[in-house]
Amino acid sequence: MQIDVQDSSPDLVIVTISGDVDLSTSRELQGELRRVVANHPQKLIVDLSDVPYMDSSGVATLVETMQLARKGQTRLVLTSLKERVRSIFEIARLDSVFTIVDDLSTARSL
Amino acid sequence: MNATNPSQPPHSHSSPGSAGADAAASGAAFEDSRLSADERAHVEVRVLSQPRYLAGVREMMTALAERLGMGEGAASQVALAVDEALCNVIRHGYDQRPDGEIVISVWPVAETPRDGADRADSSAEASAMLIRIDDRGKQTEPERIRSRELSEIRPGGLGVHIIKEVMDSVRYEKRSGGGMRLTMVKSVWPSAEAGTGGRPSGGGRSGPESDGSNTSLHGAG
Repeated sequence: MQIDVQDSSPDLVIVTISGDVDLSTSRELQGELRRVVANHPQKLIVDLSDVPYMDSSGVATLVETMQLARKGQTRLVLTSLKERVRSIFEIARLDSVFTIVDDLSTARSL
Repeated sequence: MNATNPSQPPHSHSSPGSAGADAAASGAAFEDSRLSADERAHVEVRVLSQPRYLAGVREMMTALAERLGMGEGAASQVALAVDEALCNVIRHGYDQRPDGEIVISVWPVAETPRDGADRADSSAEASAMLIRIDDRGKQTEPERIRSRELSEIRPGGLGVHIIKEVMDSVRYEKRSGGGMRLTMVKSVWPSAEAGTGGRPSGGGRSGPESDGSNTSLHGAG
């Protein structure tokens, strides 16, 4: 798994994740997202277009991020989920809890 | 063939644990030299309680499920359930210790076909996949293994819910020799109508000869 953080502006941070997010990688992701959220950007976009697989540890990481983001007045948007990853959110009944959009341009325009 | 012997543990129909109680009590997965050929798992994998091996186990489970006739979607759900089960063993059974032993055993299950199925000789075919996961970790009362309330939005506690959601039957029990046993079954059949929906293949392991293997698994009708 690789994590790319574009945080050139205080208004918008885009975190792009590549690779599987499971118990072996979710802690690294958690650390990175905590660091990003601690800076209180206005909006945080998490691009999952290159994540073929995510298990509940990855979902839990994003739930924590959402809660931290809310406290810090940051809008969190998840984008470009593959079908398999989206289905995890649906099974966990979290698909309506997160703001999930189809592509990055939609995420930027929100 | 295994399918002709209804007394063996994996061939119980909707309740995989009931006929497998003897094997469960003996903690068979760690001492399978005592088992007859029919009782032995068709596939058995031992893995240490280290998250870095999860991806490899997922790939193997996906490939096995597809070989037993599941579609891509169902096969990936099997891999997800096994992944979540292993995560729970690593975290709760072994408290993140890296040297805990986990044994994953797989059997094809022969069951009577569902309504409307036109299988010629279904008794000899795999219509479901039975997976057992044994560990030697901390024991928990099976009734205490529950998914959390989903309306409560918080990190964690989702694994058991996911397992129960994607598998057809799920049973936890304490092993008499220590540790826990999880037995899960998923039917092969829904794959026929679920299809793959043109979804890009993540694993690409269904094989170039899938026409031939599907014919032998699914019967000529």
